Amino acid sequence: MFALSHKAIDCGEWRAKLEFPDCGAVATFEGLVRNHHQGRPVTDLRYHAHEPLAIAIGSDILAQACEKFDVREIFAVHRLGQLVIGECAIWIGVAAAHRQAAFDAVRYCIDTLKSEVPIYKHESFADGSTQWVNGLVDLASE
Amino acid sequence: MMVTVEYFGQLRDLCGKDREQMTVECDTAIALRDALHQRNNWPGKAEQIRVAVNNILANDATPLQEQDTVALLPPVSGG
Repeated sequence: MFALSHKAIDCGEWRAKLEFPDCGAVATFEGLVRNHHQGRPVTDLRYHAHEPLAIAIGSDILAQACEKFDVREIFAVHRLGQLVIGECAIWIGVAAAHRQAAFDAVRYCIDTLKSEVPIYKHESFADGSTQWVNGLVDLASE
Repeated sequence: MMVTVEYFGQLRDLCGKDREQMTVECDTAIALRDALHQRNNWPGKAEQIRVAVNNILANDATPLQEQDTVALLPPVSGG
């Protein structure tokens, strides 16, 4: 299941959904807001999304992961709105019988979700400036 | 025909709005994207912007119809 949340992610609540007696491994990933980006001090950031498409594409990615890896269940949730330093922006959890599949599925999910889901990050910096991550200006200058 | 265009990411800043209604003469969603990209002189290449029509990703042939909602989706930055 892929979800969007406009309020703080309760990582423990999501982790509790991954208790299965036939699973010997649970692997999780927490993406947290850090205080720097490309050498510049970040104060906070904001996410928005094309929500229907984000849900559809995110759900497809998790379904792909369930087909690629021998896993029991995958949950992922991404925050929207304003986040401060240290807040959890994305949480992913995978339950599997064995650890290798759990590790591989978590990595696949975070890498693919970051590259495909229509969610947009707008960072604010200590000097008062702001920047869209992966903005069109950046790509044009490459 | 009249359509609603939704802007995401940096396009919101460039356009100064999240969405707008407009009368267009383009036959396809991709043609509309290309026309807006050129008219507004957006940075980068038009092909970097994905397009969705009524919440479904569009391809080169996806037609536009009256009252469609067209989402313009620049490169993503979630996670």
